[in-house]
Amino acid sequence: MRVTAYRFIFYILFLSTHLWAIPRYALESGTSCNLCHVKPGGGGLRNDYGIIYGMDDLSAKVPQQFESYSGIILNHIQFGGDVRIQSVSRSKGETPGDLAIFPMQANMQMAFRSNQFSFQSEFALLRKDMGFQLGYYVNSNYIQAGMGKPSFGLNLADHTVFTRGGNMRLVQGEHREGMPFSPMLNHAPFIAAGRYIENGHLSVGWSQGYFSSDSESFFARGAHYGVLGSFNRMIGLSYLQENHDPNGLKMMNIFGGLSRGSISWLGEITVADNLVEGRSVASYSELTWGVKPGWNVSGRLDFFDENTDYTKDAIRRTTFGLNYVPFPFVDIKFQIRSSQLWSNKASLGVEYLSQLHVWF
Amino acid sequence: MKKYIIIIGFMLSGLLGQKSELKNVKVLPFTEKREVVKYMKSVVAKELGVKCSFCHNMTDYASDEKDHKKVAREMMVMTMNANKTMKDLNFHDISCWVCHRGNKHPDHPPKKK
Repeated sequence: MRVTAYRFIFYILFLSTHLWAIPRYALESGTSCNLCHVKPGGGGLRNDYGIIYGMDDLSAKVPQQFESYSGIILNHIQFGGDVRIQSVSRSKGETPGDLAIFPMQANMQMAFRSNQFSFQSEFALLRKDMGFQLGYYVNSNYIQAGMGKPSFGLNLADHTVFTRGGNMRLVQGEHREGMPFSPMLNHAPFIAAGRYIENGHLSVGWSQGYFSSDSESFFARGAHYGVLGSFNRMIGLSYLQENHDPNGLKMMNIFGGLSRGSISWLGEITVADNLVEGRSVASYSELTWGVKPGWNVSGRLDFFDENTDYTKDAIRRTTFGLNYVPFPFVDIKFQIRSSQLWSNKASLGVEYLSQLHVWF
Repeated sequence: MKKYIIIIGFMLSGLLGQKSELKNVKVLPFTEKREVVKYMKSVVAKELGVKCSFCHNMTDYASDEKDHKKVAREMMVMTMNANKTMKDLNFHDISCWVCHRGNKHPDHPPKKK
């Protein structure tokens, strides 16, 4: 009981944080993340379209009370929130699994927009981490400054994918198991500029103190959405470089996706130099089938190699998932996943995850 | 526990209390944003084969800064007027599809030599 309590406290202190976007929705809609989100890079508070998309396209049923909900008050100010509660259990052969249930995210968000100026803020209650962005928009261009996080790659909502933060409970001992976008990192001072070009979005930025107190990061990201035959397609590139150290981290990422009807595929590969030593590679690939409104099933392959010179460091994870959105603002996920190691070490068994996500 | 009560209270107040007015909707006969979005997605975007960014500034949907949006508004007026006339003649309503056929610009007949 005491061990469970300590684990619960550990998870509250260290695992709850800002989460990112679900780029599959942008791919299926054929345009960039800010179609639905207030922030140019996506994630967090949804705009009018995002709220309506949640009602009309994501959920199995829309209660009558929610039909006119918009999220806007006083014509200019909008409030929102995201709460996620996660459970994880693990079984290895005949060994009974241990179960952990913990709050993963409790974020409050606010946005103000008036003509060319905007202010957005979010407060991660569980980590007491505040982020905010001041924005100035001219036509399809913008500049932003405040406390934020670098925009990189697909910015996936699931921070456990190896292209984000990777495994929180390591399966390979001291080895690194994922790229450095750990959910434990707080918002850091940043400045960024961006431009929308039809169905494309370009952004560049600079951040100080995100990865460590003395780090300085330059980051750039470009994404384009369009049509390829009968498919919606997305393709993008990201680059991030740590400037404070000549041997600092350098990361290159290519991401993309294809969608047709109820089937979508998303993938990305990140190559990082000096993450640990030498070159590291992480990849993510997920196929999703929207069975019927509110119901999605998916299969996912994640790969991470801490050092490409030593392939036995590599780890592959296979995940099958079910996603149910019974009503707007409620999202339930179930996942079964297992990790396979390239070394001769035995797998740590199958993990069962479930997540309740409530937003408004 | 207090923290969660605050969160849940905040969410309930948000769900029950937040509404908004349509901004800069001059032609379409809708009163709710949801109706506008549904019309744009199911009629305009599909029948012209375009995404929202073709007409809208993605950071401010209400803005008229894009010429395509101004043209689209005039086209809607034209279609509505046509439908008013058609109704008197007992014809079916028309929409963007009649001319556009899923293209940004309607096809024209080949020029006579």
